[in-house]
Amino acid sequence: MKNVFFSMFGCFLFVSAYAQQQQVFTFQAGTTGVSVGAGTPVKQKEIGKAAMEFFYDYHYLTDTTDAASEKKDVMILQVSYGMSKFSSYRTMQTDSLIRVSTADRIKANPGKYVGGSTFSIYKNYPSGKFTTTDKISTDWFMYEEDIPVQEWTIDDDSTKEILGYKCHRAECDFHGRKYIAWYSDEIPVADGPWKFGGLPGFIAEVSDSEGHYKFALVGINSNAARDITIHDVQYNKTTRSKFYITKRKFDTDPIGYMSAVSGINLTITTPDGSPNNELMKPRELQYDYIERDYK
Amino acid sequence: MMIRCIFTILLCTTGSATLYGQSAAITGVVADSVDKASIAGVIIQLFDAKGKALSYTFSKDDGKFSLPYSGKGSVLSFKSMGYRKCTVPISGNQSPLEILLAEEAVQLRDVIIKAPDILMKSDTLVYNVRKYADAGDRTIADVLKKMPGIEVAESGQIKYNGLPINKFYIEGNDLLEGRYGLASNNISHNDVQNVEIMENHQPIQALQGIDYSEQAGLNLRLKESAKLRWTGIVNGGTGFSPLLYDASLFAMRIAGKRQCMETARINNTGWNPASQSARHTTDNLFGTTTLMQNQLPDYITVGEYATPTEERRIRFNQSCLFNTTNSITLKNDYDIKANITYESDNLDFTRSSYTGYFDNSLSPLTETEYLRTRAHTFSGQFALQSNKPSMYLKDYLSVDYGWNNAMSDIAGSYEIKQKAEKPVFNLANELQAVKHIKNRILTLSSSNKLVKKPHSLLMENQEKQYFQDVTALAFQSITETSYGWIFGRWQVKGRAGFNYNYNELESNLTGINIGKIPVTNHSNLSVINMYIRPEIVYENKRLWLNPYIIINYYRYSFNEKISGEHLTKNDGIISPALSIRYKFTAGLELFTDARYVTTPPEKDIFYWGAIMNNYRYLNAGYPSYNVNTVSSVALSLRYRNPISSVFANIGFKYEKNNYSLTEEQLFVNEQILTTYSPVSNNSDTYRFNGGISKGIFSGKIHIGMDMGCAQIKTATIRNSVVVPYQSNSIFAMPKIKGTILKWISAEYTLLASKNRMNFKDNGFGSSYINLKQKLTVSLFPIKKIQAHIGVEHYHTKFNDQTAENLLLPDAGVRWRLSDKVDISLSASNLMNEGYYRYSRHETLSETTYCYRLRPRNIILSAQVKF
Repeated sequence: MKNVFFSMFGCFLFVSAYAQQQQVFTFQAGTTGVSVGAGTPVKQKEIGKAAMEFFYDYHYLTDTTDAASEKKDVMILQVSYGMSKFSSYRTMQTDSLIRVSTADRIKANPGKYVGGSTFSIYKNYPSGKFTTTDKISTDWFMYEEDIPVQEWTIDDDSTKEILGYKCHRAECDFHGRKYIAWYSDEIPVADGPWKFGGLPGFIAEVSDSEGHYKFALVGINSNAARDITIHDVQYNKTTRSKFYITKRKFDTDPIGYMSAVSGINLTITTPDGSPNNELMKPRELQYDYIERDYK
Repeated sequence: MMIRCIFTILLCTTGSATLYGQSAAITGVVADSVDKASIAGVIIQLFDAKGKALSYTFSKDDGKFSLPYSGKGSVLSFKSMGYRKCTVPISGNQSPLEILLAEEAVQLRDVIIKAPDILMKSDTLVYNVRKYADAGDRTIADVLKKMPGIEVAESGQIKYNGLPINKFYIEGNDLLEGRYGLASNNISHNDVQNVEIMENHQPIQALQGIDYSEQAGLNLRLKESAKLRWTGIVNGGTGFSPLLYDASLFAMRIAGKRQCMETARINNTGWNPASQSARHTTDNLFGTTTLMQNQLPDYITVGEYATPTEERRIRFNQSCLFNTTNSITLKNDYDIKANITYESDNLDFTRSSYTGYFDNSLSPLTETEYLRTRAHTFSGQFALQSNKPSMYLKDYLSVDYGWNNAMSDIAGSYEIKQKAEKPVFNLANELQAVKHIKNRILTLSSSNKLVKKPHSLLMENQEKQYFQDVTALAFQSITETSYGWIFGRWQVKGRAGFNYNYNELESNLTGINIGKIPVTNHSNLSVINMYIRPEIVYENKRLWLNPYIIINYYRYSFNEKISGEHLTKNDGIISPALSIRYKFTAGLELFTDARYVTTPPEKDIFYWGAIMNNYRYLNAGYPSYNVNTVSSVALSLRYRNPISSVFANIGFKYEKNNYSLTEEQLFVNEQILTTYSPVSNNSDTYRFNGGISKGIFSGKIHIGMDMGCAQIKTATIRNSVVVPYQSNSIFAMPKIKGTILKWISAEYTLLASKNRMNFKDNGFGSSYINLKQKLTVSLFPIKKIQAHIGVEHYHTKFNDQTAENLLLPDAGVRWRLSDKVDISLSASNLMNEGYYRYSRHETLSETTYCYRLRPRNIILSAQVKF
């Protein structure tokens, strides 16, 4: 019944009709809790069972010129036979909550639960490798690396007590930063937070020499029975340096990243209609990533 | 041999607490004392006599170890979780050791920590405004655009991660009820401390943790210095030619339980006040249908315009906007808000057109129109809300009255004056309530809206006078509810609603004779629609499947009071649809969508009598209950690689429409009457599109190309003859955009398109080609100065092979004198081009329009913040 008219406008309408159509698809996917939306609950796959769990406060600066920019997350190191996983405890809580939610708790649209950090580090998974998974924008990434070398220099004479355990000081340079670690040989587990390990004991605290990143042990559960899981999603498989380069692209120019990977062209104008390209300008990052050797 | 790998990840590490240069090594194997299985990952450490650690290593997968030994050291310790610690004295060269460890229960002093709070309702990101603000920014909207994940659309709508925000708060108060353009375009970024984005924001406390929102809420946290006092911006600009002005005042006072905001602006430089007063958010409970998406049509079309250029180029306006917004929080947690706006928009257009009808027996129409429109709108919105965890209640009342009129002087094929009066009255109420009763949630959403349009049109010249009087009224009421369950990977959802519509139409046309067709209406239509929409969603890592079905019951009841005609029809309609998404890899996705939709007749064809839209066109309906069907299938493939910054997509859509009525054009004397004939009609539409883009130089520059084509085959009836025709269009749009150096960025786009219309029977055809290219360069030579230069070029090749070019260069510079004062100079249409011509195909006709452009405008303005 509608007038079918074609015009110079036709093309604009056509473009927007298609753009809209794509958005509708994306939107439908998003509202039903599929893995496209940021923070969407993601299905988990079990890969092991933790025997012990260690909890860390993870502090990091989002602006290295401003100590007030410090962010905090609670991280969990799940140690199992032959492998371990280091990830955000808050993210894990939200993920597991989704799995136990009853119909009463979640209505028609579960929407997005948002937790903490999105990265997970799997040590010795697969055997002989480290696997890191993380999310940039709405994309999941995975990279494997050979078990990295950390050449620790131990200073046995420097000690401090953490959660009642006597710890020794050790130092190493790793992927562009110098770290000071405190490990305890009273806990005979040669593991630690993030990618750290390889000391003759358990790493209870580690921070970089500039104070930008810090992991501090705050909890121990030696009778854990929780599953170790990995997100069951389609990953963009990449390498460590390409991952950081991609992350940097997004963090410095999110609009550019979105337009490059979604094909949507965004142009910003001022209220009077004149273009404002300054707004599209990439911004400087006020911090650098924990690993700095990717550049 | 069985390997026991205990809690240890074999890092390739070396303990270097001691000096190397050893000549020998201690070697051996570690095994379980009971089953002799080798143990991997045992920490093996060498100590001296005083107990100082000298070096260490770990046992390998086969339990073997090797530790360099220089002669220093007297004790070797073996530690592993789950085994008792074991020490062995060392002396000189030793044969390989065989160490057996005895199992021992783990004994650690556990430190139990509380699980962190789960922010399942929302998560707040805080953006520090200072970090994102630059010299060129004025308002908070300028700064918002730069924050990661936030977009501000041209309409002023704010999006976060691609979805519109659902609330815009100032200090936690939703003061503006969605009309946040008033705040975002006026509040100085210097007054804002932080912008808080609350992800998955559920604004209704009673639904927090139960219904999760995809959308985010945005809160402006003001600086202490901007609270409890009046702050604002005064802006004044003037220029030529003719004499131009743009002056505005914005003031707000945010103080605890009382907030108020005052806005005033007058302008004649092309600004449209609607850009600030539009409401961008609505309150939806469980996806409730937004009220009155199908507004009453404007039967009288005098005063409407649309061009493919930006409207600021053709608007010769005198506009103003005055708004006052106030909110107060009462003792018992009830909020009352009132928002009162007056806006006026007076426009003058000059345009001419030439219309051909693809038929030798019909003479073409030439028209020069001088059009003057006057629009005044007075509106008020009032909200009463209580938002508590146990109960949510909100009533939103909106009233607006617009008195719009248009006067047009036509010359050309006909000489006539038209005068239209088009007042509009709207009254709407939305009631939403949510209450917790034990573990269940009771929700009620009821929206009711009344619209009345008493319009009239007077057309006269020296020979004759026509008068069209038309009063249309519509009432709509929607009540909806929904519920859902989740079973593993399956979700079952249901939505049900009741929608009642009542439309009334009274019209009378005098002074014209159009044969047998009646020229009066006094009719009403009531439509009851009850619907349920069961839906299933299944999803796993690769597949997402969503079949749904809409079951509708309709009852149409039409009464024509003059003829006494009465028509009632009950009908049940089922429309199924299926959407599938399949992810081959993380980057490659396929979408398909197939649907078969049956739609009842549109409400606005239920009348018999002809209504004059303007001096040339008349419309008449065809009140009969006949359903139309649309079957469509769409397929699209998308590839995205975020690592190499490549995006590509390709899509195809086929749509088949089956109409039970066919549009018919009747040439009656000097007028064209559009009505419907009870002849069924099919139309086939094919659409194909694709695009590719790539980021280069670490994403600093993006290049890309979009293209597509479409074909529509359909038919219409003209003077009782069926005219089949086909419409084709094709376009290509290359683009490049990037930051070349730190102080310069540029963007170039080209849109090339060709449209063609062909008639199978009489051999007529017409086509035109358009090229539109745009280059924008922005410069930031020093921190306090921002400049931009832009050039738009339009090229049109008309059907008669004539071509036209139009070049529109613009430039501007902004200079910040201090934190409180800045000055800007802007110029548009520097070459002072006068007219813009373009072509457009409409039903069985082609029209070439020519619009007058705003001349070269140079505006100097200053802004002072207080």
